[in-house]
Amino acid sequence: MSRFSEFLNKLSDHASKQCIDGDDGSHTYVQLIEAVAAWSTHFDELDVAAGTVVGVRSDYSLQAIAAVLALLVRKAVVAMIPRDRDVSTYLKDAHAAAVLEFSASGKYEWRRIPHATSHVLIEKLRSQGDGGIILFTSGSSGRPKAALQGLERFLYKLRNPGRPYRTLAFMLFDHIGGLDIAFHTLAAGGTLILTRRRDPEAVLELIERYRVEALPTSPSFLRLVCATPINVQHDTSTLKVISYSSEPMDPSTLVRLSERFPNARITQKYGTTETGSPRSISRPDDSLWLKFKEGVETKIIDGVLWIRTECAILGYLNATSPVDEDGWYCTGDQVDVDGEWIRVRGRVSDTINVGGEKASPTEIEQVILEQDFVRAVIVFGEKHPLMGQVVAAEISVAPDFDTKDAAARVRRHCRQRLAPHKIPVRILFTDQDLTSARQKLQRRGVQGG
Amino acid sequence: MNADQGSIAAMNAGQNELVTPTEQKVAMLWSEVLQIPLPRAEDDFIELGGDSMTLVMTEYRIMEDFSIQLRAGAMLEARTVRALAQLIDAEQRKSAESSAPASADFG
Repeated sequence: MSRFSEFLNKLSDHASKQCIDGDDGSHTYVQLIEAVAAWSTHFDELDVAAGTVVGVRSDYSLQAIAAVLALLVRKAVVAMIPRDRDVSTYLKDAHAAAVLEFSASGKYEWRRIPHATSHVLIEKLRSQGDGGIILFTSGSSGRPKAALQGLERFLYKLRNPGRPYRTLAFMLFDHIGGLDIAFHTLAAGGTLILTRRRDPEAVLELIERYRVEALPTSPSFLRLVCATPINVQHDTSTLKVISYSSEPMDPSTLVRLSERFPNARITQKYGTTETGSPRSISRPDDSLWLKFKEGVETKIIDGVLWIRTECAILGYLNATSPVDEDGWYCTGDQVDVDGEWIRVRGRVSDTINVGGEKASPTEIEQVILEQDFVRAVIVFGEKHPLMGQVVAAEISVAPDFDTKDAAARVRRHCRQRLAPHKIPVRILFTDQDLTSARQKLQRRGVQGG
Repeated sequence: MNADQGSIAAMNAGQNELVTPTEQKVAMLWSEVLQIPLPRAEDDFIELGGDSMTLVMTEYRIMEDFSIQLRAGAMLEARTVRALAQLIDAEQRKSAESSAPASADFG
């Protein structure tokens, strides 16, 4: 039996349990299965054949999830189209032959795309009779890459889906983290809590109202939660697990989180589009360290993590393959190693070279975050005629915060904790949010001096 | 006090004392960046333990604190507190002149 058939059987087993709650109303697994059947009939009428690439552009909803599942039932390839950029470029890069777009009101539009081209990797999937998923990388270092994943490979990690939690669908539907959470929650028989609101105030209110047990999110968002003053006290005691991925976490935020959510276990996930979010566990006493579960091989070359896993993507549709001929993927993440545990320090590509001395933005950010008035910080390299690069920092503070002495405080603190070349020479303050729609820090490349 | 008055005051006060407000600000900045007691007017940045990193740091701070532009490495040629203070005063005069209203030319 295929992994996808097993997954569908699990949905049937959960029958009358609640699968969706939140802003989109309450629905059971039976209702989800009925919606999948209705979409299957509709796709028959629309003549959607196996192997057809269909772009889906939507936030989470019962209908959007059902449509994605119905497309996968017929072994189509679903391209999850982000909603933040020009749709036509994404559709072209995905080789999409049609697009299904849901509006916030739940209405949908189906559109065929004439003259869609194919790609050798998609042809390979078709010949294997497997469905597929296309996810776009965030594109922080250039054009977003269209990463193709085979459906059976994607489902590899769902063999033991874990406990059925009431999980807030915080990560976006088009993001590996979001899609992964949706499949995990459904496979386990949990409930996905859907929301259109993703600000700290709203999330705290949702935890109380829908008795949320699991909050999968990003370090940037959790920092924002810790920095948000408590105006209304919400009961968040139902929260059992807070998981974070996408970026390195800092110890100060972990301390603040455990004070604010004393009942919740805090864990780290290692999620990249390319490695398909392989399963991992966090060290019980310190979630900054993690190790991968079975099915994942790792090696460290020059301090950089390489991964070989069955969950890895088949390749990019608009760039050369990131996986070498032996199946290894260079993550680009600089890591510390302690036996079988690893700790992510940051991206190699973000490393700042100050007159030949290396400075990791993550390390510097973690030190700056120890100051309680700092809501978020991005450290980046700035070009310098003598040093090559120097360290600069942009710090987000509350709108009414007096920044007069703040730079001096940050410099004084950095001087105590960091080598001289790591102390920011330029410090900028903003009251703006520094995160993207995907709740990640919007990193800059090296800036002109 | 303009730069000439500052130089005269410096001669009157003895060579190594901090005289002008700019000299005093520069000395306090060096003290902070190099983590040393307050330097004297003719002390040399490199001899006080300054290196390329602290030099760059100091130049950035000067640009920020005095709202002027400095060429990278300008401090290599203005290595004493006094020389650097004079350079800052000159840059401040230059930027004040360039931003003065056009009618002043006919004043």
